[in-house]
Amino acid sequence: MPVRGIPLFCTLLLGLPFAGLTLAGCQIPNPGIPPVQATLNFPIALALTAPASNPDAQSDFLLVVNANYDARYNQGTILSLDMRQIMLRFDEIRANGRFPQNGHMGCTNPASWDDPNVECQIAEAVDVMAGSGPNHDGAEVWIDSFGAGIVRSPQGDRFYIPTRSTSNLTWVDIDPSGTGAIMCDQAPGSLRCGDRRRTTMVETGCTDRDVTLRGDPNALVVMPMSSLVTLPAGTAERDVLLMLQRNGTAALYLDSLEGGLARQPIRTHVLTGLPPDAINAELETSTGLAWVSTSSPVSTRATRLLARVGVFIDTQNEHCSQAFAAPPVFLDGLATGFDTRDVAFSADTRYAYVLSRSPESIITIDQEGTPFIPGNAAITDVDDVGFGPSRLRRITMDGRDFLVTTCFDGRAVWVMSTAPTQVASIVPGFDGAYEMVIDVERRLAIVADFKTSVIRFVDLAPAVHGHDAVVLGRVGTPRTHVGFP
Amino acid sequence: MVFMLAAFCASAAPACTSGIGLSSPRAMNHPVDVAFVCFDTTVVGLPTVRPLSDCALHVDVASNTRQPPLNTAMHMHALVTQRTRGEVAAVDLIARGELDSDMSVPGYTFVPVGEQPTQIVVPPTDPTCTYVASRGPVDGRHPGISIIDTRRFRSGAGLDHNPFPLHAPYILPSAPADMLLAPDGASFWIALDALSVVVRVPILGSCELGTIDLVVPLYEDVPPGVAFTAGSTVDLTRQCLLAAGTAPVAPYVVPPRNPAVDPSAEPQPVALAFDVDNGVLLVADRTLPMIHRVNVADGTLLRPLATGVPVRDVVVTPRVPNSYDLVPDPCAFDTATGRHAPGSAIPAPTTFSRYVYAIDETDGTVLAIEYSDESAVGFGEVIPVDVRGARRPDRVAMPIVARSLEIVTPQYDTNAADPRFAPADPGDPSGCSRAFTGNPSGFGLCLPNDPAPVQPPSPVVLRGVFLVVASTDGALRFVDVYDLDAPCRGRAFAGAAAFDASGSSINDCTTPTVTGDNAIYIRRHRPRVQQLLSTFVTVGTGPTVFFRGGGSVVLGTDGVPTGQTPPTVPCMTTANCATDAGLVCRRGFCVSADETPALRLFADDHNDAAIACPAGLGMVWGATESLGMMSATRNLPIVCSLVDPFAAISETWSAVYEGSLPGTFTSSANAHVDLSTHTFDGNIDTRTDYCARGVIGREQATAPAVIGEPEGRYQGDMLAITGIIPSANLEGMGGLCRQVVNIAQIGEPQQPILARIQRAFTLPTGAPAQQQPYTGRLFVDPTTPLENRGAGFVTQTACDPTTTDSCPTADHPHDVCDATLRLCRTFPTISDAIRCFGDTLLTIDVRSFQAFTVSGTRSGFSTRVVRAADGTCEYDLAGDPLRQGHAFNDTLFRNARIAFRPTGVSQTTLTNELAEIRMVLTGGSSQLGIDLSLSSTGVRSMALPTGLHYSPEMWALYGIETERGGLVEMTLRPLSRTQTAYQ
Repeated sequence: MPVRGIPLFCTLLLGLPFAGLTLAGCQIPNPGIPPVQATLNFPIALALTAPASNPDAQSDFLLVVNANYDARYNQGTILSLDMRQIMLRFDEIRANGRFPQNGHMGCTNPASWDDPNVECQIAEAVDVMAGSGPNHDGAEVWIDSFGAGIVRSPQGDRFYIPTRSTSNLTWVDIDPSGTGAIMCDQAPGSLRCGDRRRTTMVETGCTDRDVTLRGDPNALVVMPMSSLVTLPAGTAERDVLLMLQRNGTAALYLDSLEGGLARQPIRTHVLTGLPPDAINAELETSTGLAWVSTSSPVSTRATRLLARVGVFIDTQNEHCSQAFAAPPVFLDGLATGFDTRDVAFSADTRYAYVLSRSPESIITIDQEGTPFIPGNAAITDVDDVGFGPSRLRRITMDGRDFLVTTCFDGRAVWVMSTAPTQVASIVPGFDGAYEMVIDVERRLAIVADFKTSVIRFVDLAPAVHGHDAVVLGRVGTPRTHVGFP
Repeated sequence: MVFMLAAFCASAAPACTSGIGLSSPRAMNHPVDVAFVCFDTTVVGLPTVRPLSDCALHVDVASNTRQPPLNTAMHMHALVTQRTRGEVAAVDLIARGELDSDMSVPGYTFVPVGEQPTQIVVPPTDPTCTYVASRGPVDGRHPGISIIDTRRFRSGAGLDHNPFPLHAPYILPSAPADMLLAPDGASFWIALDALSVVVRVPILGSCELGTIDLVVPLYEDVPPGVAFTAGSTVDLTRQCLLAAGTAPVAPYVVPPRNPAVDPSAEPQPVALAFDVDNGVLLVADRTLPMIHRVNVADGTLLRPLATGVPVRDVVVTPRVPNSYDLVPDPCAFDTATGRHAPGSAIPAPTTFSRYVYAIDETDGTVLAIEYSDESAVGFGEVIPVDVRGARRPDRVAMPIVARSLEIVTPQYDTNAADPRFAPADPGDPSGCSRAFTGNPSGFGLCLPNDPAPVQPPSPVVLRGVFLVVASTDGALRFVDVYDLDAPCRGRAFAGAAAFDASGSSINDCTTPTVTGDNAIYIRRHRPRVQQLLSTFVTVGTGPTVFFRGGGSVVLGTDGVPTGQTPPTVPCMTTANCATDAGLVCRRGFCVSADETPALRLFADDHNDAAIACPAGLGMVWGATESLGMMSATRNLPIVCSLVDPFAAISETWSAVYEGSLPGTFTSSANAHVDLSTHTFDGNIDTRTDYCARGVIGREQATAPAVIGEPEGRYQGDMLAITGIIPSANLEGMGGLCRQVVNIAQIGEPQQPILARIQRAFTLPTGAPAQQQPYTGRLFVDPTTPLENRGAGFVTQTACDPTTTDSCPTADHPHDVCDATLRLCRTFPTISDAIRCFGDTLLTIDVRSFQAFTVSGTRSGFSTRVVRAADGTCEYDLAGDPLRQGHAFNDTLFRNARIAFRPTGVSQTTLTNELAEIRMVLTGGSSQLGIDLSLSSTGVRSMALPTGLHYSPEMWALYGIETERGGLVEMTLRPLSRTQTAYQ
């Protein structure tokens, strides 16, 4: 059974018409080059474990999914970084003043601490990796290439990764003892996650259902089942997963929280007929609907629709639960509205903020508003952001909602205040800001610089007081595709 | 292989490819604001600044082209703030190009200022210094104002060796939201939104600003809105050729919006505008529902304008006349003959008005506010101007969210006592203070008897006062306020007797000099119509009937399919008709039994007054009948609609017999089934607000109170289940499931399952509106037979036809005994259907029962259905009776927008082959505008206009397009985008 990412990827994605080419090019089985350990390699997804203030945790951790974007290696990786260590190191190297490079760590351009160009760095990720023991056991695992995201389960112990190279769902667990180690059925002495961690049980108990998973998984939302239905007494909680594929399908998984590490998500339904080219999804918690952004490389396939997908939980037979297509959101009155990248919602969920690349802007939709034309989204405002906007997150600080946007082409992170939406701060100094996770308690935006494979930490707190958000520092040494070993 | 994988990913995966390619270098990066400055470029490398008027262009009114200034060394420049990089770009508008402020650095380098620069001001009469307000730090820590020697923008000497300094920045206590130069040029007014104040900063000269000398804390008490009073504002209109018998649609008056205001809300001033005539500063508030008014002289607060909503931009017009009327001119003088010319005319005396426009923060709509006379009753009222019957009648009719406003005044003398006159001509031998004849300046009102009009009037030639709205779709749209060319539109020019003795125009709208300028509609606060029209609203080639089989026929002006003739043989019964020819008696006429569905005249008797269009509507399809006397004619309408172009909407109206109600389709309906007993309690839940969609059940539709109302004939909607029963289930229940979907055997196409709805609900969940917006329920009696399932399904249950109780059961109370077969016939019920589907979500919609569903693609489905307190959907009989969405065969249908009379559908045949009668209404008002998202080759791309600035010196409007367009220049005579955009 081919378990290495590249051969399987070649087999599955290039398809039968290219079988000859595939065989010639991939030379199955080709073990390829193993990833270099403790290395950021095109970080594509970020997630945090438990909140920083969790008194039961030794620390909290940042999980980084490395995409292996240029397929240099034969698989991708997940690194677990110790957030408290990172913060401690940043504090140390700043507190020690303007000293030159001190081994791995230090600050560049320390002309003035007020100079926004000052950047402190932790040059090697290994210095802040989690895991147990001096070898950071468990702080790195290997999965298939081209992870497309990572989502923490509502309970915080499990993380789900839609994986494009094998068109499947991968899941890993975090060590409940608080070491930050990642557990995914690795064989002894191996970093590779066990095969069963990227396959799912398929439920066939319901009539006439084809739950074959096809397509390119690009996005995932996860919610607790109790947010959708009232669980019968004595029924354990479940994670409900909706994974969106680029071909216009959505797969519904249920993951019982009983059974410990051995439990597996069960795929109960594959919904078809959604707009193609899903690229991202975000959960609207009050209605339980996933809003799906689309970006098509084919102009004739581009759509102004934001699909919305909901979940119907069959309380009598949960294996018959279904995903359904809720009324989509139609973006009209824009030039052009054909390329959306992300969605965030205000704290009270009234306003949806849609990140668009055409125009490059944040589109504010009032979910209680009256659209100009019936059936369209009630757009109330459109505010420009930097070039190549990629990800959008909302953080509430001191009771006010702020929106944080990574701008890949603009090489910046834009921070916007809301009500009204306007620019609060523009944080320069990125090479290719893309994925992002918000550390609410520390008021940080943790940004993956995809182009140069580093993680930057942006302090958002000053924006509350009308000052510029600043980059605290970075983990990793910037390098492009030629800089890897 | 690695290369192949990377290539595949790069070509097919947006997540991988997003932005990987480097964007092309651009000069401008998120431009925000623009100011103009005049440079004398006589000495290369030693620029000097001049008053703005020195760079003013002249327009050759004959060729309608802008001419260079007499001194060609005078170059107008635009200075544009760049938000992302904290810079100001300079553009030479005459040499047409951006300037590189530091030639020692490759590429375009602009002048650095504070972070997030927003407003920029160059005092027009003393342009020595340029002032740039920044929301980010100007000194590394604090927001404020950067002060630059204006000459620096043309020096190109770079940062280190530039002889023209960057002065010390001026620190503000908080980030500026807007900054305006006072009309006297002596100070700046600055809005500090975070502090809820506006402040005044004096200009001391020599590029120095004094300390804040006036702080104006803004009101927090929100006054009640001013109720609209009829006649309190002038609805100035110039129109020709509305259909006979119709008049402009009157505005829909709504009470002022007086929202509850959060007591903890603080004022948030975000935009400023000067009312120069009265010395008042207008302050838009993005939090509180009002526009503050500040007396510029002493900073005292005046009575604010209660807008009902917070606003994010504000502009104010100059004084505009309230009349286009003309009277004979006592001073008329013919220079050729030296005599008076009594046919001449001048504008009649008039009053003047002023208006404030603002953008609603809550939804991006545009308000028009009466702002003429503070002592008048209507001062401050939000004017109802949208006559389309829209949900926002108190807004300017715009289809899109507005982002920015500007007032343009081409060839309108804002300083004149009466701007209808051209500037006085001291050489006028008549001694009259006017110079409109052969008016060389192009200013003033157009007079049709002018022997040499400056330029033929046209919808795209802008002379007068207009509101320009920049929208989120990349377009700039124009709204009429006062059109100096309005009196000449639709009229014959010199030589014709343009006015009679009383001053009334003749030859109006009949023989215009400009070919095709017959249909004129210019109305204050309304979108400016962009093209010459011959008519306003039409149905194109005619109504079309579509059939379920896929065919279609077009109806002629007599309402029947083209090539056919309407029935003419009267009858009382079918016996009076030629039955052997397949004729039957319907509607009092012999018609073919399978007659084609069509539209009919509104009354069968031509002398019946009801044959005319209903009040308020005009004929848009039908014939004209000659009455044979004095060339009189009469309309025989087939379709009537609104014909006021500002009320009409271009849309497609559809009448579908037993068609779906818009917005009721869902694939996630959840039937209440008890799996242990497989019983269905009759309730089907979805996330649809059924009452808002107009769904009504049989019980409410047939309530006694509805009798006599327009809905009185309707019997309630029906449920349609359109999902496919799985093949494995079709043979279930002894074959009854096949009967449920009306097929004889597996493989045939399944028919929709139709069942009458007993009650419809939008359930009050008690949750906030945004949490459960779609909760709805349909109750269908579980024992009621499905519609259109014929004589029932023969079971194997023996029965006695002599009794009535041998077949009915509790589940199937309507079952009967077949006297011939002596077997029970059962009629499948909705419960049977639910069981056939098994435990699955249903695909359903709601349809009209024995009626047409009438809806417009933009107007939607009109209904008086509302939600009662208990969630039941019922009629609001106190509501507008013109809110109707169901049409009936052979009955005149009308709602607020359209009227017609369908025919040819048997009221008892549910499967009549008619699918739809479609009427495509075109016309309405096509608004004048420019789409900045369209390239010169017609390719549409991203665009987001951010600001608008009118430059009377350049005779041009400048738009700031923040995505890629940069600074875009447009001329207004006619409206066109110049070939130059500065990116």
